[in-house]
Amino acid sequence: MTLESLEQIKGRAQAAVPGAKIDIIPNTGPSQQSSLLIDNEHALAVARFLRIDPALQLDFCSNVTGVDWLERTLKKKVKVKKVVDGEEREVDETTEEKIPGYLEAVYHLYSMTHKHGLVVIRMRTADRADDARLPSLNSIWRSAEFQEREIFDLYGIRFDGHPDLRRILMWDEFQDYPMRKDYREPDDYEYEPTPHDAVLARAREHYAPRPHLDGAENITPQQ
Amino acid sequence: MSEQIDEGLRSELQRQGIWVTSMQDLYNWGRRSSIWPLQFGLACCAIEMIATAASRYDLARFGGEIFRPSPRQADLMIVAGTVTKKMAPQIVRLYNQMPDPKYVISMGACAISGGPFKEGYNVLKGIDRYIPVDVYIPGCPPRPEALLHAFMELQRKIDEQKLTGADRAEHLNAAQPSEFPVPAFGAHDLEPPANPDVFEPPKIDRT
Amino acid sequence: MSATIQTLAPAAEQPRQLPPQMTSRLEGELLEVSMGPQHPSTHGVFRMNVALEGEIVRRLKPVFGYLHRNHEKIGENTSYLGSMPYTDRLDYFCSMTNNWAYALSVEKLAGIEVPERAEYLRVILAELTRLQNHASLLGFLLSDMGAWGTPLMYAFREREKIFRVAIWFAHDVRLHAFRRMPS
Repeated sequence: MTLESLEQIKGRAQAAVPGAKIDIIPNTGPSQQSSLLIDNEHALAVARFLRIDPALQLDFCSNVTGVDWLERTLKKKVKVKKVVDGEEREVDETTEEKIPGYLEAVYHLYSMTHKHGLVVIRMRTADRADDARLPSLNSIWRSAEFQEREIFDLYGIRFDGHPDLRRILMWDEFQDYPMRKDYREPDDYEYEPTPHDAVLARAREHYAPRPHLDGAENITPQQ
Repeated sequence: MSEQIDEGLRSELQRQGIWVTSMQDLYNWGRRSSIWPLQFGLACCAIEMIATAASRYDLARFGGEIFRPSPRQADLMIVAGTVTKKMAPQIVRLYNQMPDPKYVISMGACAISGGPFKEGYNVLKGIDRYIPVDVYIPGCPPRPEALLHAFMELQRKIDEQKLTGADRAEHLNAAQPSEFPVPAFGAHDLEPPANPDVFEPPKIDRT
Repeated sequence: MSATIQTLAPAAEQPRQLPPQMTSRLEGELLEVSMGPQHPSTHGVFRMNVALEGEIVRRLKPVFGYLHRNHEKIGENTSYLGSMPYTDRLDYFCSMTNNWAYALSVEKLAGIEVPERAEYLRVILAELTRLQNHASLLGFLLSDMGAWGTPLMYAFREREKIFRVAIWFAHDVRLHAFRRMPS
């Protein structure tokens, strides 16, 4: 059985779960793997639909992972008609759009019954606060239990309704969320003979530069 | 070879069927010929450690094939693989449980310095931050030949250890510590991040 | 391994059913054993908090993270090619297959097609890896089932033979290949 298109899945899911807000996140790269963004309120109902719908039966959640999106500004060039010096002209105008940071949980779903896949669903938190919350889909796919724990451990997303939300990879006393982009490691720098990029930037903090000896010091670290 | 006995006299006696040796030689010969490693693997290097003990490379030729599951019966700890910060306290605890004399081989790039995973937030940058290491073997993972070489280096070291005198072996010196403090799990890192009694950060002369 | 006797409330959800020939000496008492991370019968570093009632495991909580080496975080700072050696070390019995999986995903991401020769080379290397993986599996499995070291010796003999072929083929393929997947 071939898998329906994402538009069809979206339409049927919205019909089955009234009030659900589903967006398609397009992927314009060569892989063409677009995904469905489901809203947190109806996430459980939509997930249950994906699991029990006879045509879909996505009964295997192979992977759950997190993504950290920092606050970013989108620069868009728009051609605007403007009256300049008395005559109308097309002028390029850059508009800046600030997108606040958020965290995402991404679920990869397959169907063992129909041998089809892959459907990617995403959920977004409102912000990057320490107690960012998402509903747990553990009751739909049991295999999400440990992976949601891992996301909690590394990204700091708290899953509501998770039976046993503890740290899984790091020790219990650990307080940071190391996979977040703004995580700073404790500073125990050791000298390296060939520092580059981020290591070089840290080397500069710890040692006085000697540009006449180290060729490597002239390389600027990538931002 | 002990320096006290005249070589000519020794060979003359040997011809007569009398074998002369010193207590120190006998003791070191016994110790170096039956090193019992701890059966303890962490990551990829452990597989090469097993391959060294298995048929092709045969660590038994050097008297080291008896891998003991219990640290109480082991002489040698081969730290084979990446030491994560979560695992480091347990390794120090295992080391403390081993009876004297005890030796440590730091096998592979990860156990020496963190290796390819040095940038990781959960990877300890070398086991020598907490326990003293006798032999380091580079490689990722080191080939079994390299582990055999480290084993022979360790045997050489044991052979040269003295029973008496000021420069006697560490385990015969009561002032030398044989146990080291176990690091605690902290909020951001292990506490302390290195044991200053054991570890000295590399000093680089940058002139 | 440390053992502490704790009187826990017996698991209410499942009624106690012992086989007739087995009698529990610890009636209503659970023995909580922390097994690992260093234990002769565990392969790799893995800890289990086990609640035992006599011989029966009533509850088990796995604890992992003792080999969490932060591939993902390191991958943020490496190039696509630079991440390749890290994929070897994910599963060190099956390194070339891991390389292949990673290479496939990068190729899918970038829309790259590899030549047919590379496909052949990949299959051969992956099959060699699979063979040595099975050899080790049989050795360890029989060893765990009580045959101690003998089957392991035979298994590792065969494994070394496979490595000799693989080394001839692609640099230093023992556990990890210091070479990217042929492309």
